[in-house]
Amino acid sequence: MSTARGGSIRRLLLIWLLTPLALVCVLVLVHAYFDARRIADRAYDRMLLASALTIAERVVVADDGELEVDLPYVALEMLGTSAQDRVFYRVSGPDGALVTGYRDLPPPQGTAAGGERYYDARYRGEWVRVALLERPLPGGGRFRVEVAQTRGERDRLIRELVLAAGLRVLLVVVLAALCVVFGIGQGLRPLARLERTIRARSPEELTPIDDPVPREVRHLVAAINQLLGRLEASLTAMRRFIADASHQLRTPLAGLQTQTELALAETDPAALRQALMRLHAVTRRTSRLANQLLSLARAAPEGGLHPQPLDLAALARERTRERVPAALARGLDLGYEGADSLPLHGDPLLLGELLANLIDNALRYCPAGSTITVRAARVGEQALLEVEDDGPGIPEAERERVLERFYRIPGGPAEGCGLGLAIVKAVAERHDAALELGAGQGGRGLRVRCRFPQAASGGEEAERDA
Amino acid sequence: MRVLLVEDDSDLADGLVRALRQCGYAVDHMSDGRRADSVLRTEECYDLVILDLTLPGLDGLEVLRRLRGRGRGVPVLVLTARGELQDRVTGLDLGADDYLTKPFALSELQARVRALVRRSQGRSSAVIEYADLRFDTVARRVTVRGAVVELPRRELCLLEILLARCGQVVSKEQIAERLFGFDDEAGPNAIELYVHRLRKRLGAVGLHIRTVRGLGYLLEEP
Repeated sequence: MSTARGGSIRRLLLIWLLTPLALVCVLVLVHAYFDARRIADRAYDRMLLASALTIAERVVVADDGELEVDLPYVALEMLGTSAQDRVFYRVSGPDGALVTGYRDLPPPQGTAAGGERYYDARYRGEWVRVALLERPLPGGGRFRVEVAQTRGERDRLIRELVLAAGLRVLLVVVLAALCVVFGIGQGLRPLARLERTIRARSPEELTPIDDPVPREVRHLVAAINQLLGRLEASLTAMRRFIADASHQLRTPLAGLQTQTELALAETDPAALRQALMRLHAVTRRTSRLANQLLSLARAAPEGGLHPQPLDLAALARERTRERVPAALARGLDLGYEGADSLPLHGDPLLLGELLANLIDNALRYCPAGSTITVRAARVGEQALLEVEDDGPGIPEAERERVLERFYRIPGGPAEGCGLGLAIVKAVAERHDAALELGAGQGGRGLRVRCRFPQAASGGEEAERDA
Repeated sequence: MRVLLVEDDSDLADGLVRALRQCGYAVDHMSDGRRADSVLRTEECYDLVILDLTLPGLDGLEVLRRLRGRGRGVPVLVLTARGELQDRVTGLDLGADDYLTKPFALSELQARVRALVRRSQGRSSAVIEYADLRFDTVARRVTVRGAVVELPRRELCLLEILLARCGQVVSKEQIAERLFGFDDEAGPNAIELYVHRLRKRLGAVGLHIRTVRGLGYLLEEP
C-alpha cells in the first residue's frame, strides 16, 4: 500500500494502523454476533424443550392403539412469555401421522435419533426455532413432538448483546484512533523541529546539523551533513578559484595598462611598434589565461560532466591533426601512433581539453626539430593516452608541483600561465584516470600518460567499423 | 565582397571592422540583433555574416535561425564567448558555417573569413587556386603558371581532396571515402601509392605533400 512518490508519512501510518484495527473490529463484531446467537438459543432452547417434554409426558396410547394427547396448556403458556412470539406445535405418531397440532408445520429436518434436536425453519413467512423430541412407544416405534416458536424474543436478545459489544468496540476504536493520531503527531515533531532548524540557517551556514534527532532520522541527517560538507568544500574551492583567477588576471592586465601607457607616450615610430608588439604579446597571454581559467572551471568537480561513449583514438587523432599546422610552423614533428579505435566512456569536451593542453604544452616548450608523439592504446583492461616529446622535459623534483594551479617551473619560459597541467589533472581526475609524468624514451623529454580504468568493451567491433 | 558584422561590443567591433576593411572587404556593422535581423530580411547583397551570439534585442542564435528559416545560404561565422559544447552544436545545427570562440587572434579570424569566402565562391566558381597552381574542377585541368600538368584520374581526384583542405591534415579515411568507389580495392597501400605518384608530379612544380605520422597528409608550399 505504498503511496506514490512523496505522499505523507502521517497518512501512511494512519492507513497502516487504522485499517488492521478496523478489520479486527469487524471480526470481533462478527464473533459477538455468533456468540450472542449461541447464548440466546441456549437460553430459549431449554424452555422449548421443557415445553416439548411436558407435552410428551401427556402422550398416551389409547385402548384402540391410537395415540392421544391431553394437551397441557401450561406447556404452551410457559413459552408465551413474550406478547409478540407465537408458538406452534405438532405431535405425530410412528408413521408420521398427525396426532394433534399444526399439520402444516415444516417437516422435521432429519431425526432426533430417540433424543432431542433444535433447528431453525421457515413457517408462515417467519423464521421459527423448532425443538424436536422423539420418544419410544411401549408397543415399539416412536412418536414425535415438535414445538416451534417465532424468533422475535431471541433476535431482540441477540440485537441487544451485539449492540452492547458494538458500543464497546466503537469506544476502543475511537480511543485507539485518537492515540494513533496523537502519537504520530508526537513522532513527527522532531522532523518539524529539524525543518525549522534548517530553515533558520543562512545560506553561508554550511556547518553540520548537530541537533539531537531520533535514531530513525539520524541517517538522513548524516546524509544531509555529508552534502553540506561537500557544498562547503566546493564553495571554498570556488572562492579560492575566483580569488586566484582575479589575482592572476590582474597581473597581465596591469602589464597591459603599463604597456599601453608607455606606447601612448612613445613618439618614435620604431619604438612605438616595439611597444605595440609587447602589448600584443601580453594580450595574447591574457586571452589564453581567460580560456584556460574557463577550461579549468569546466573540468573542476563543480562543473558538469557529460560522459558518453566515444572513440579515444579518433579524438586523439582529431585533436592532434588540428595542431599539425602550428607544429609545422614551429618546425616540430607532431604525429600519432597507436590504436585505430579505442572505445571509452567519457566527456569528449573535457578529454579534448586534456589533449589540447598536453599538445600545446609540448608545442610551447619543445625546441625546433623536436618530435612529439600522441598515443592511444588499449593495455589490458585499461585505455592509455599519452603525449611524449623529446624536448627539455620536467625535472623529477618538479613533476608533482607542475600539476598545481598557477605553478610555473622557476626559470622556465614566461609565456605559460601555469594552468595547462592543472586542467589535465582535473580532467583525468574527473575520469578516474591515473596521471603519470615521466621521461620520454631514452630518458629524454617528457611523457605524460593517462590510464583510464576499464576501456569500454566492444573495441573489436569499433575496429572493424573503422 | 560585402560583410555584415553583428557585434555589440564596440571596441571589438571597431577592431574587426578595420581589420576586415584592410583585407579589402566592404563591412557593415550592426550592434543590435533586431536591426541585424531586419537588415538581413531585406538586403541580399552580403557574401558573409559574422554573428555574435550574445546580442541586445535579439539573440544571435535566433537571428541565425530566422536567416536560415528564410532559406538564405549566405555563409555565417559565429562568434561567441560562451564556447560551450551545447552552444556550438546548436549553432552548427542551425546552419552556422564556422565557429570562433572569444578571445581569438585576428589572424585566425581573417583565415576563417578567407576560407568561408573561398568556400562560398567555390560553390559558384569552379577554379581552386593554391600557390601557383590552378585547378579547374569543371574542365578537370591543372595548370601551374599557365603550363598544363597532366595527371591521371585518381591523382587528379587526390589533388582535389588535398586542395579542398589545404593547410590542414587530411586523414587516409577521408581520402579513401572520396577516392574509391564501392568496388575498388581501397587499402591504405593503394592510397600510399597514389600519394607517392602525385608527390613526384607535384614536386616538379614546387608543391609538397607532407606525410604526418599516423594522421594523414598535408599539402604545403615548400
